[in-house]
Amino acid sequence: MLQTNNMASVKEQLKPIILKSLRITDLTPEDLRDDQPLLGGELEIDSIDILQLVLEIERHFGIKLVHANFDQKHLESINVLAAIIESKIIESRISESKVAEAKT
Amino acid sequence: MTRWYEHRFHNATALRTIFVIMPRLPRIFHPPVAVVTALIFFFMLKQERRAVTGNLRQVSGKRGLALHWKVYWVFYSFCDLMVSYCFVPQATHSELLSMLVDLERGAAKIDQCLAAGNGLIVWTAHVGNWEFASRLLEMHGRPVNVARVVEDKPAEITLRNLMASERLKIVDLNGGVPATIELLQALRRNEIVAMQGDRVYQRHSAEVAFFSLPTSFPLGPFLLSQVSGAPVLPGFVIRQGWLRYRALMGDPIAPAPSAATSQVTSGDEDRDAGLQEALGQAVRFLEKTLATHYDQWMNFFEFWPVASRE
Repeated sequence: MLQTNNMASVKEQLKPIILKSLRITDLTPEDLRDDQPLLGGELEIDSIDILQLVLEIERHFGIKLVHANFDQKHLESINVLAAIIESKIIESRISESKVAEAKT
Repeated sequence: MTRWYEHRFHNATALRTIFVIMPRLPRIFHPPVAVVTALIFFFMLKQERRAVTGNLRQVSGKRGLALHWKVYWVFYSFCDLMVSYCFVPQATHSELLSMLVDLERGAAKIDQCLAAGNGLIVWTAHVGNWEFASRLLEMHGRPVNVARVVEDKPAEITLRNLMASERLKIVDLNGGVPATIELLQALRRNEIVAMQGDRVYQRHSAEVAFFSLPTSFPLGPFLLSQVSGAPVLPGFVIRQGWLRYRALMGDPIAPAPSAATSQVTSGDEDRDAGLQEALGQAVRFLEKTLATHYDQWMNFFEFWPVASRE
């Protein structure tokens, strides 16, 4: 799991993950705009791509991205997805610290 | 997306005819009616008959009359499947159990898989009676999510609506990304997802040896397993008589390892090798089942196009 400090850092880490998950070799992370749509745009994520993307994101950031309240609108753009990841990281840290507190 | 099954009798009128006549007919008359109906379709549906003949020749190695006899039984099995729609969707659990010739239905394996809390993916195929199989899965006290491609045709929609209930949800894979998210969420609620794995609808597939020929199968169920942590359990319900069935369960297949995939720089080959191995295990169980029950394999198209056989 890689540590992240802020939204910009999440986006930086997310872009290569997107390219790798979708097996896109003709673009670089710098080519991806922050407002790049993930569905219906140039990236054309399909029903299987999304699994590969979720797998990579969850492994990389050490979070559970897809839960009951996750839906298609969270894939609107890289900005939106990064914000969700960031909030999941914060949630995860809070619950980790609660567990640590309970132990002490 | 490939349209698999387009014969002219797969329509709402044909279904209505079955649903009106068969439930009113004493059960003892069903097999003779099916014998005649299967014979009519065996002769009328030439293209489908040729395709099934080619498929079964590859599977069984049979030739001549023995092969045609088995092809005829595929049509007969299909009659059983269609008539079962009159009874299976609304049957109570005890009625379903009374249709089993053997009460051993792999329940312990299913419960064991669900105990881990990551859900369960049941990998099935167009063998025997997959609708009956999905109803059996309901008995484990968790919602069953049947993932399938529902074509936009009245007959398909009728069948989907017949099977759908509070406990059995049909997730239409035409829904794309939202459908995938729905399946993943279901597994994370420790529910059951059932998928038929013997037809490739998407570009994500892998080739494995199947009856001595390299054959493409979808990787989706195994990728879903990898993401969710749910094991894949191959299983089929085969016909053992008119509207009488037996459940056959393979061994649970653990999610393909994905440690290497956490490195953004890892190769695609590494990522796919584990999935392909898991797929291979499921396909071997299908092969083993079909070695005996190939006359219940209902794929009415050329499963191996002539070019790949050559």
